[in-house]
Amino acid sequence: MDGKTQSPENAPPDDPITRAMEYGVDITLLTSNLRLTPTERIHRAQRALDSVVAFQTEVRAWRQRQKQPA
Amino acid sequence: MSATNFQQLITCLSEADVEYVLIGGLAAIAHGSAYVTYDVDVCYERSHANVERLCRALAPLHPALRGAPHDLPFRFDARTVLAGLNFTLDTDLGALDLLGEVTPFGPFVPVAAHSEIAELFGLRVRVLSLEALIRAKQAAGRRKDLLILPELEALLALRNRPLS
Repeated sequence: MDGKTQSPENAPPDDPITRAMEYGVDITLLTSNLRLTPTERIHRAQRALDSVVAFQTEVRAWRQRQKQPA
Repeated sequence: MSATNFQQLITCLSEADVEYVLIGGLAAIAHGSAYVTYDVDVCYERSHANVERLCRALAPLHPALRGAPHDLPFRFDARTVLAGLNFTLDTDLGALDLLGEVTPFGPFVPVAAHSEIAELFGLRVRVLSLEALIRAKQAAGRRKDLLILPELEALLALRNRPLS
C-alpha cells in the first residue's frame, strides 16, 4: 500500500493529478501522506478528528455561554 | 461527544477474528486520503458463525442504533443482524457502520476479492483497494462520494507513478 510517488509539477494536462489540483485538492498533503505507513496515516487522521471534535465541543460551549444572561 | 477511536475499534474486530473488510473513509485514509472521517465503515461476512463473532466482539461496547430514540428496544445479536443487512451504530468506542454489501461488488466475498492486506496497528487487516474504493464511490454516486473522487484518483496516479 505504500507506493512510490512523484512530484506533480510535471504532470501532463488532463491528468488525474492536474484535475485534482484544479478541483482544489492539496496534492502536498497527499504526497506527505504517501510517505507514511497506513498505520501512521490513521494515527494522523485520529489526531485530526480529535482536534475537530474538541473544537466543535468548544464552539457548542461558547454558544451556550452566549445564550446565558450576563 | 468524544471522537471515534479508530485503532481500538479495528483491534476489537480483528482480535475477535471477525471477517471484515475496511471500507469507506477510513479505507481512503489508509491509502493516503487527507479527508477527515468520523466513523469506521466495514463490510462484514454474513455467515452465522462470523455474525456471532461480530456480536460477541461488540457486546462490551454497548452498540446502539445511531440516531434512534434511547428507549427504542434494540438487541444487537446474530438474529437481529441476520434479519437486516446494514447497521449504523454508536458504540463506546464511537461510530461504526456495518455493511453486508458494497455496490457494485456485492457481499463480502467479492468485496474481499477487491481488497488488500494492510498491516494496521500490528494486525493484518483487509482494506478495500484504492481502485475498488474509486469504483464504489462512482457507483454510490452520492454528492459526498463524488466530491472525494478527484482526490482518490490523484492518489492512485501518484502511487502508481515511478520515482523520477
